[in-house]
Amino acid sequence: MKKTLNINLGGMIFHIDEDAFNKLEAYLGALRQQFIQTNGGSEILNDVETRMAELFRERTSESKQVINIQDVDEVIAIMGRPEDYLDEEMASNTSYSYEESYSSNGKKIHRDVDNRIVGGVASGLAAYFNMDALWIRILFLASFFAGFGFLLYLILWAIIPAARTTTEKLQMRGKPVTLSNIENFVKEEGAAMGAKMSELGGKARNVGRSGQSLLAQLFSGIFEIIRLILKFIFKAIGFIFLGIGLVIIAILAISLFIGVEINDYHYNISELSNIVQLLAIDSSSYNSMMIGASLLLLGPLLLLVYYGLRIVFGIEPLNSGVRRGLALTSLAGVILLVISGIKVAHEFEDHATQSQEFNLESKNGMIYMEVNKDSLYDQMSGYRNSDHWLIYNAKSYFSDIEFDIQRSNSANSYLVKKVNARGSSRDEARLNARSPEHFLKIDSGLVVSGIYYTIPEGKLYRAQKIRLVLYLAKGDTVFLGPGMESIIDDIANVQNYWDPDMVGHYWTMTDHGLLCTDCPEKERIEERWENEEEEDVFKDYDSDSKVRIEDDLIRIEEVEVWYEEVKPIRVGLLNEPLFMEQYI
Amino acid sequence: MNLENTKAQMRKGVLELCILNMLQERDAYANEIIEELKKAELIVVEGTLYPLLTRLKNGGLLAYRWEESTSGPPRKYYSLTELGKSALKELRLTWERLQEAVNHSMNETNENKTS
Repeated sequence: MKKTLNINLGGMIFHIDEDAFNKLEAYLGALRQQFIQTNGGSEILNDVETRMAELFRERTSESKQVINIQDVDEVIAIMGRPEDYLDEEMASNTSYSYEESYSSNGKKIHRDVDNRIVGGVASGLAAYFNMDALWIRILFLASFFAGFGFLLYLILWAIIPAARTTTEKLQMRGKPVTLSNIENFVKEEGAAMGAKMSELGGKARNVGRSGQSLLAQLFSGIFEIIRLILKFIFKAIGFIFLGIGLVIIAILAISLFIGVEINDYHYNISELSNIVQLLAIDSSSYNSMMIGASLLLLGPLLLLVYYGLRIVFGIEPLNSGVRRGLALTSLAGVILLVISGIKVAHEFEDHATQSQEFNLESKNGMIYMEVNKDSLYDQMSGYRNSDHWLIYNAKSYFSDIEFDIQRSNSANSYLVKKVNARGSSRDEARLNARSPEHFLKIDSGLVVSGIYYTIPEGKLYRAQKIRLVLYLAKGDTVFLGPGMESIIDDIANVQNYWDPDMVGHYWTMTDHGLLCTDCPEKERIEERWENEEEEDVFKDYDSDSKVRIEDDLIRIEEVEVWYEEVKPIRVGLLNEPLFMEQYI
Repeated sequence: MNLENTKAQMRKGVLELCILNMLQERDAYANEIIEELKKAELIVVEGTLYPLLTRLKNGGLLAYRWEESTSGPPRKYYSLTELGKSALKELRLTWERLQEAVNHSMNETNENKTS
C-alpha cells in the first residue's frame, strides 16, 4: 500500500505517489527559483507545467491511474535539468542578483528551518560555515548572557531568509543546484522530508494553484509571526527552566561535596544541617526534616531540568509512572515537613524570661558602656533594628541583643539582663533562656557587652532574645561608646536624638529624662564642619596629628581617622580611666 | 574544452531560425514544435524550448492564441507576426551567407589539405 496525493498540474488533476510527488515538487521548486526573477518567468513555468501535465496524461490510463516515481523520472528526462532551461540571452537580460545567485553556484546564507530550534538562524549559519550547529548555539547562548545576543538573534532572524525550496537548501550548503544534487538531497532527506512534503501537499490541496486571497495571506502571515513569537517564548522558558534546575542542582552538589565560599565564609550542606539541628527537637525529628526537604526538592528539580531539556531539545515525554513516582516523593516530603513543622512549632508555643541583675560600682556616678570588639565584630555589627544570623565555623551567631536606658527607682545605677526564650512549656522556655552564651563584663563602672550570642552545641534555637537595660540613677552619667550603635534600641532622651547620634556622648539622667551634656546643638553641626574646612585641616592629608584645646573640648585631629576604624582613645588623666571619643 | 557545449551552442544559434521558419508554414503549439525539432535533433530536452518561445513572444516576433484541445487542457498556438516575418527573412539571409561562408572556408581547407 502506498500513500498518494492529489495534485493540480496545468489545470489537470493527478493522483501521485508520495515519493514521486516529493521529486516533482523539488524539480518544479528548482525551476521556480530559476525563473522567478526572469521576465515572463511565471508564463514559462505555466507552459512547462502544462507540458508536464500532458506527458503525465500519456502515462496514465484506466488501468494505471497513479503517477509513480518512474513516470516522474521519465518526464524530467524529457523536459531536461533546470540548468538546461537557461537561455543565454534571457540570463544576460536579468538582474545582477540572478547572475550571482544562479550562475556562480555560490553559497548563500539561509535559515535552516528544517533543523531549527527557534528560528533556524544557528543551524543556517552552521550549514553555511559547514560546522556543527551546536557550537553556534552555544555561542548564541553565551552571548544571550552577555546581553547583546538576544537582539542579534532577532535581527538575524529577521534579515536572513528561510530556506524553503530545495534550491535554497542546496545553496545554504554550498552545493550547485543541479538535478543530480537535488536528487541526492531528496534521497538524503528522505523520510524526514516526506512528512513535511505531505504537509505541504495538504496545504497545496486546500489552497490549490489558484492562490490565496490577499487577506488570507495576510492573516496566515500574522498567525505565522505570532506562532513563531510564542514558540520563541516557549523555548526561552525552556532555557530558563534548564538553567535554574541545573544551577540549583550544581549548588547542592558542590555544597554537599566541596562547600561554597561566600563572602570569605565557608558554607556547605553540613551548615544547612546545623540550622535544622538548631530548630529540631531530637535526632528523629532532625532526620525527618532533612529527608522531607530532600524528597520535596527531588521531584521538582528533576522535572525542571527534564522539561527544560524537553522544550529546548525536544526529547521524549516522561512516562506517567516516573511522573507519578516523582509526585509521590514530593508529597511524602511535604508530609514529613508538615509533621516535623508542627512538632517544631509546638516547641515555640510558650515563652519565659530569665532576669539577672548586676550592680554597677560607678565612680563619681560615671558609667562607660562599650561593646566587645572581637574577631566577629565586623560581621555582626550594624544590625541595630534587624536580626542577623551568622553561621561561622559550624557555630551559629545571633544578633538578637537590645540595649535600653531607663531611670532607676533607687539611688544606685544597675544593669538588668533579660533573656527571653520560647519552649513547649514555661519550664522548657525557662531552660532555653539559659542556653545563650553572651559576653558581658562589668568592672567598676565599665560595662562591655557582646553584640551577639551563640547557642552551644546540643542546645536549641528557641527565638532567644537578650535585652540589656541600664537603670541609671538620677544624676549619674553614662558614656556610650561608638560600638553601642549596634545594640541601642530606641533610647528615650530629652533632646530626642536618634540612636546612631547618641553614641560618643555623655548622657546624664535628669528629672526630665536622659540629657546629653556634650552634644553639639543640632543646627550648629554643619556650621562647625564649615569652620574646620576653612582652616584647611582636611586638605592637608600628610599633616601630623593635631591636638587642640578649645574651651571645654579637647580636640584631636587626625585626618586619616576618617578612613579608618574609629577606636576609643584612652587618656590617662589624674589616674582616672577615661574613654574619649572624638569625631572630627 | 567541452565539445558537447560547443555543439549545444551551435544548435542553439540556429534554433530561433528553425522555429520561425516552421511557424511560417503553419501555426503550431509547443508540442508540435518540439516534435519537429527533436526529429531534426536540434534539441535534446524540451525544457530548452519554453524560455526561448517566451522570449520570442516578448520580443514581438511571435503571437499566440488559445485553442481548445480534444485531449486535455487548451493549447497555446503560436503564429508569426509581421515583425517575425521580417526577422525570419533577415535571419534566413544571414544563415545562407553563413552557410556559404562556412562551406567556402571548409572547402578551401580541404583543397589545401588535398593539394
